[in-house]
Amino acid sequence: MIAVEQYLTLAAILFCIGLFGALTKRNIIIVLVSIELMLNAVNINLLTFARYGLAPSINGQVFTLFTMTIAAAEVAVGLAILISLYRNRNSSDVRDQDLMKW
Amino acid sequence: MVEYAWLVPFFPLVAYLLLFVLGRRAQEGIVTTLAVLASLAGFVVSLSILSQVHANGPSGPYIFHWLTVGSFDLSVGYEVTALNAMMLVVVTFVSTLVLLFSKGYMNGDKRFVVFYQYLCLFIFSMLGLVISPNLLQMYIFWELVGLCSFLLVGFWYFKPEAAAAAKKAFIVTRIGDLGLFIGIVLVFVATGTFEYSGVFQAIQSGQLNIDWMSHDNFVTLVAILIFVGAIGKSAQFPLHTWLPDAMEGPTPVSALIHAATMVAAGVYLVARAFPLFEASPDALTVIAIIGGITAIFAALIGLTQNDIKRVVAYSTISQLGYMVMALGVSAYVASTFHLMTHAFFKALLFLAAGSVIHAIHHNQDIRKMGGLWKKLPITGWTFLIGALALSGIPPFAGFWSKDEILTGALQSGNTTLFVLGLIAAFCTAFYIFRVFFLTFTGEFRGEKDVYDHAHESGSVMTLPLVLLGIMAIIAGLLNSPVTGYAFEHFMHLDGELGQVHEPSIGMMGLSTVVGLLGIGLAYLMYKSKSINAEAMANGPLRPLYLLSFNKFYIDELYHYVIVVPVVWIARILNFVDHWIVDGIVRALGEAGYVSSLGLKYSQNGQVQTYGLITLLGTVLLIGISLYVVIGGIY
Amino acid sequence: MGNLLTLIVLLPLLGALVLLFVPRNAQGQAKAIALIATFLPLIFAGSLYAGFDSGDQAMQFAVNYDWIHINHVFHDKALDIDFALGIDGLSLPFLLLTALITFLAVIVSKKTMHRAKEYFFWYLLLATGLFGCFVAVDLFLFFLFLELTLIPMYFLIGIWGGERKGPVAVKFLVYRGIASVGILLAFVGLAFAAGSVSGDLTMNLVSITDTFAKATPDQISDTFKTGIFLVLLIGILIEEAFFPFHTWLPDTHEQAPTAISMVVGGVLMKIGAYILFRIGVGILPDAVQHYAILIAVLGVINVIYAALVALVQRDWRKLLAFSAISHMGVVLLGVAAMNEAGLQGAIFMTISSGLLSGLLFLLIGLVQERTGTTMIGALGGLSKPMPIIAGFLLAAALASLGLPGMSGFISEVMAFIGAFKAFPVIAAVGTAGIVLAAVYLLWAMQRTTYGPTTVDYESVSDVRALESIPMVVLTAFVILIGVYPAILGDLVNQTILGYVTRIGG
Repeated sequence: MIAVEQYLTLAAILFCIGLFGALTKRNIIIVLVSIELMLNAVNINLLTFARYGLAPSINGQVFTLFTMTIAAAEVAVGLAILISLYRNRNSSDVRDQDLMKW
Repeated sequence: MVEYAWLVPFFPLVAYLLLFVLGRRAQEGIVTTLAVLASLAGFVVSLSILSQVHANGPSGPYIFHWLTVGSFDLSVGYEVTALNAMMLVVVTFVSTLVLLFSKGYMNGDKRFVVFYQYLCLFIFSMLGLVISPNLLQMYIFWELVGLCSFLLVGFWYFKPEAAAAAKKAFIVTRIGDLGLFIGIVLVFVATGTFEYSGVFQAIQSGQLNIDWMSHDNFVTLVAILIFVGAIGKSAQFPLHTWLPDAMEGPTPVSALIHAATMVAAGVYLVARAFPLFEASPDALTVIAIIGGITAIFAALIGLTQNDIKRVVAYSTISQLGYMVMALGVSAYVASTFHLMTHAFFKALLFLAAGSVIHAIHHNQDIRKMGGLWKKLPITGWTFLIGALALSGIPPFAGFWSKDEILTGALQSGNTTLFVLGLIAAFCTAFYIFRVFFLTFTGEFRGEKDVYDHAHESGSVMTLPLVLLGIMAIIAGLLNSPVTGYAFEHFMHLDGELGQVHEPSIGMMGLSTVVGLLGIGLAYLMYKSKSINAEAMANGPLRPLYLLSFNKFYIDELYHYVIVVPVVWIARILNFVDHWIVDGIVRALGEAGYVSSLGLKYSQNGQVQTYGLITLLGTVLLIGISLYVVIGGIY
Repeated sequence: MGNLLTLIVLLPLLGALVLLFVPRNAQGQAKAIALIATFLPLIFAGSLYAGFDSGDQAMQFAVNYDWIHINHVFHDKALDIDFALGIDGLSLPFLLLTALITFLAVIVSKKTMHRAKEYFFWYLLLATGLFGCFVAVDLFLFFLFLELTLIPMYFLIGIWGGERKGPVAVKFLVYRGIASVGILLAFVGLAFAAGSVSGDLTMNLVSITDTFAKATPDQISDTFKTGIFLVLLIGILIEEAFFPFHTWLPDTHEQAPTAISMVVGGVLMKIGAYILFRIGVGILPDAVQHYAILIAVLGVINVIYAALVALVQRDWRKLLAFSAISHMGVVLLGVAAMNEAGLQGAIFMTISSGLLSGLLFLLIGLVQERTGTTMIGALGGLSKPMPIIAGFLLAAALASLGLPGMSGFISEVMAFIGAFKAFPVIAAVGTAGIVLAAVYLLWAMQRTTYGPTTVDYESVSDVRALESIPMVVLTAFVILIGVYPAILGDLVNQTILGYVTRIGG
């Protein structure tokens, strides 16, 4: 049987990979993918506590479904923005998307 | 009739309002008629009031509610006493003649109606001041009198000197008014009333109390503060500087200001509030000294002035000094008597001067006059009468009243004041006859053309001169053995104020001799020319001459000691206001702007940088909270 | 009659809404609507004056609609905020002043100015705020109306102002925004303190006043009162443009258009004084007395400092702004005295200063329109081409320097009687302002209207019929109050007696 710690560790590792990717990768698509990783890490946490938490209940699973839905929507919107950005600036590099500076 | 005393100021007020409505296009004849009739009606009512007071004694006050302040009431009203009945007659009499005279003098001026409006308002204000039964109402009219003098002195507004003189008159008298204002407010604070009667009662019963000062000191303080108002209004030293400058106004205005309305107000105030002053010997001493200084000081300046109106103006200051000095030595009757006689002969002198000025095309410099006796006989005669009255030669009006004042000064035991008064009397006789000789005798020193065209003015101008001339001769007899000291008995209807001094033949002789000496010296210097005036002015006496000619440099002194420092303080404060008070505010704004100029570079648009900083921040926050909550990171 | 109050407050708002449906270029209609929406409140205010019972200390013509109710605001207490309006002897003069000035200022506003529709829209919003401030009986409502004056003013200065309009509009907003913070803090503090005593959390002014009057020192400590008052005082000092927080006023007057200058000087800056009377003297009299010396000294500093600074101003508008500051110093002096005469003098002074500021800014506006400048040095000899305006300018200047027979004098007399009773030395220093006022006002007036006429101004025109209405009306009121002050005194007398008894008890 797999212990709670192992689920949580997996989630933590996933989250850190996602965070690292989101903060360091130059390609916007990779950044978006990294964000998905982080969301999934959160999902694992939610499911873990839904099963092994102090007060196990169905809420965690329901919430995961919500997160997945939102993640899907977010990817759709994110990709749309990405395409728009690409058209405007001719690049998918994050560093070039700095229109909001001073 | 006495209960209708309000009619006296009411008539000029109505005239003022009517003239205001009529506007600028009204005909000069109608305007003059209206104003003169109003003033004349006031004069008639005043005469009947005077006779009733003589028969039945003072009456009033008649009081009406004006304003409730919390739990106490302020009222307005009027009253009739012997003093103000006398003043009403004098003011309306002189005013009527001045209004008449102005018809000729101001003939053809574009703002003729405006001039009459102002004159009517001026007369209304003065009459209102006279019948006021309380200090507040008196102060209200007091200020209105000041306003009218401002308007009239600055009547020829396009002349910068006139504007400056008007402003100076208003501001200098207002400095005095400040003292008066504080004085009456303090009286009210101490007694809860502005009414003269209430205030006098409080003084008699020793209840003019205030918790931070003893009764006696407080009375002295209040008396002196009120007197400061009189100093400003009656042009006493050191606030006398506005009066000579006020000569920039049209001459009828000068006559009104000097004889009946403006400057008389100060002396009237001290006389009306005399019980207050009597309660404080210290205040009386101050008044006597100020009056004495003013009398001699102005007389000395008058010796050397070349403007006919200015000489007469300085004589006014000097004569007012006499009146104030008389009040200071408790010669109440003498002072009010001189106030009356002076009104007649000073109005006469000014109107006569006005007649001269009018005849020779508004030239006022006596060095450019001469020989006008032949051209202006009526003016010449009346001026001579006025000059004799002013010099105190019997039996003219000034003799009787001035004589009483000198007696009062001597008998009060203050010999210095008496000597000062005597010297001033000598100077007065000298300078007024200097003007007389230079103006009416010898050869004309101006342009010949002007002299040829000079002629006596019409009857509107000569009639007032003649009437005033008659008064200047006979008014003095009112308080003489001839009439059994009628004036004194009349004034005593108000109660025995001040002290009465026995007239003495010796005093009469002395003052007459002094007057004659002055006239004689003037004759020698300016008529027979046996003493060379020029040589005296340029000889060893030159420093003294310059001192007198430049009015003891008082104007310059005030300019450098008061005006310049105040303006500099104001400039410095303005600098402080702009660069420090507002500067700090603007610096704060600028500081915000400048710091954001630097900080904006942290906003580099790189999402990943933001993310990293957010991460670090979160970690830091968690660390801190762990440290705080658990007491350390395990 | 109570509904009249609601109408007075809401009519300008209604007018503003109607304006939104007027075509942009129908500027004449826009002005007509603004005229109606300010004239009707003037009529109503007049009828309220006619029906007002000056012997009654209570709020009259009161209306009270439940508005906001919040449960469990503080422990288990509920907070009630009502749409409560009413007037007493203190607010009625302010209401009349506001009605008068706002109407007259519309007359002065040009329908030909650019973006006139927007101008009148913001103007009517401002009017609503001003009316509301003086009739609101609920502190929350009061504050709401106070804020409502802020935003329209920002636009009115920022769009239709002079050449430095932008920064000045911001300065105005920031200053008065900060003032609002102090006032709001004080309001909330008052409400909670009163709530903790009476057990009933309300923003109603009357019940808070009653609670404070009855509360023992154990229930509401003196420290709390003085603390709250200090916070409030800072708000008031900024609101009322007192030294050292005054610098927004000269700038505002310099930049604002004439009509707005009239409203600012005539009404807007008087709100601070109103708060001082209503909240300071009405609710926290002990605290006012505690700080009496401080307030009096502050008053005297204002009187003299502002008068001296006014002495060297080159621009009429700035001079008038400093003159107003100097006059309002007398108000502080009167309030600090905390006696009948002082308080009545302070209220008189506030109203008088409102009327005179309105009048003077109007006249200077007229002069500027004709000569193109308000710089005193550039003017001269205007008596000749425009005798009527020059005459009114003279009258206004004289009234402002405290000539008897005009409103300024009686105000000064009463304020100084009060002040001399309480602190003679400080008051004596303050009287210097009377002379200084004469100096700077006469100087500026003479430079403008006396002397030889400059060639450029030989043919400028005198006042037009429409413009003469505000001029004559304001002057008439100034003289009316001066000659028969009871017309105003009787209104405020009972309220002041109420305050003074509270001080004694």
